[in-house]
Amino acid sequence: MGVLSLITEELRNAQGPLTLAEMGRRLGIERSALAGMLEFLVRKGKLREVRPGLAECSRCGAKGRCVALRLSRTTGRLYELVEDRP
Amino acid sequence: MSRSYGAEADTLIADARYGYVSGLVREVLKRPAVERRMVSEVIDAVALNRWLGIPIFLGVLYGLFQLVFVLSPPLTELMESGFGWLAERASGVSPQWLGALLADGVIDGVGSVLTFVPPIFLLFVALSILEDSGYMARAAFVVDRLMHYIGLHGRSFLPMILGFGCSVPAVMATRVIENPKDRLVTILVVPFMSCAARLPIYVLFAAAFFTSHQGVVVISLYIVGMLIAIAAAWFLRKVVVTGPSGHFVMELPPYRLPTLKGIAIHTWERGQQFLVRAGTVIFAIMVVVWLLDYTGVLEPIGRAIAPVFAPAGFGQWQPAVGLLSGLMAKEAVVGTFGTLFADAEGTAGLGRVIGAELGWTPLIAYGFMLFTLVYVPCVATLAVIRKETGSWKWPLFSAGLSTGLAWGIAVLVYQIGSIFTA
Repeated sequence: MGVLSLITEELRNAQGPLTLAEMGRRLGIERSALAGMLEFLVRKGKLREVRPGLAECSRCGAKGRCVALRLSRTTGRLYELVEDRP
Repeated sequence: MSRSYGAEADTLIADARYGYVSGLVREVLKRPAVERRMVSEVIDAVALNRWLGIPIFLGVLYGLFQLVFVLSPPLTELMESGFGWLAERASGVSPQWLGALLADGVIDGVGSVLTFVPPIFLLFVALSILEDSGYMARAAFVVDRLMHYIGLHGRSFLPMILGFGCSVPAVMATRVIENPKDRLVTILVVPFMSCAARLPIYVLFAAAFFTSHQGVVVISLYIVGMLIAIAAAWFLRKVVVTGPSGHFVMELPPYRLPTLKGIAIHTWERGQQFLVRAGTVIFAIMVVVWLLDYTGVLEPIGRAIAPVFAPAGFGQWQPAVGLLSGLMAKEAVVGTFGTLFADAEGTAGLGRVIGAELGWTPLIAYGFMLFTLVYVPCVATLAVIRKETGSWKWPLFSAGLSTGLAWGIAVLVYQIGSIFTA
């Protein structure tokens, strides 16, 4: 099994959400290298980066003043396994 | 190659390269015997620990409220004396009805809400510190992990944390959850998180009935709110909105030292909406409440509703109309009491007068606070639930669920508590 498959497999079998550091430790992969791998998986459609402020937010007048948007950005990037989408 | 391995060629090439790089790094990278870890990693080893994460989060929450309760009383007293002075001047205005409207309706009503500006702003200062330091992201992660076990995750806790401020932006913040079922469940449970508008109610009654333990009492209400939100999410995910949830990996930002400017900006962003509401919605509600009281209409309305609350111990007409006005905005509950008991002096004084005139015990006061924590969200929240779900079905469901639950909890607490306090 390749390292990219290991990432998706680890995510699928995880009991709850993982931090990037935690996943790096489990798979023995450097955090910076792991970030690049996740980006690749996003490009290939295996993962989806959950980003706040997409279509719905563009219609909202609050924009830069939005507390929700700012707070969600403070949590850093979040990647979701695509096959989990209903 | 693609056919043999069942994957696209570029994926296989990238996989091989990443595998080679990872192996190479493992072989050639020499780490010092004592590895130097970043400060964030050291803190995270404790803050994100599977067993310690939640107790630490609760401890942080406790510290946050202790800060609010230690620092706010002198500022609150200052505001109370200011409004007392204003009400005295206004009561001399003629004609007599106008003086009464200004003193009892506007100043006592809106003023009793505005005296809670110090604790509310201090709460927002503390939330801004948590947010800017990077701990909020950890809290969201730790609680998300807990919520995974109940089938709800994927940034659900972020909107729930926002619910500590106001449910309206919190419901809107559920837009960051792209799984529609997780999003709907989060929208429905967000109102159980105790919003800042409820804080004046807690402070009022905690100061009057639980003088030496007011901090613990208020924190218990916030924790009960979170537990109800989590239990409701579990129920809704199992029974009403079933379906799979996602698997996530989250990148956490490093810890940072918050700046004064950042804290001030974020506190103001949250707090200004409380001030605007006090000057508009609460002002209007207080004038209407005063007019209905002055014309003798309010009491019969309250008496008609009051029997519903009798099993919970607060079956008098004054709390009934207070809860009714709270449908418009939760701050109005305190404002209504301020208008109905206009002679009381100060926050603790108002709470004590309510207790003496209505014959309330600490048990009834706690049941009343629990009821206000859980019962129907304000109309602005219901409207935003309607907008975000695109249907009246869900705001009506939310109103029914929360009010039924609130009544059940308040009755249960009073009836069981009465056995032990008899």
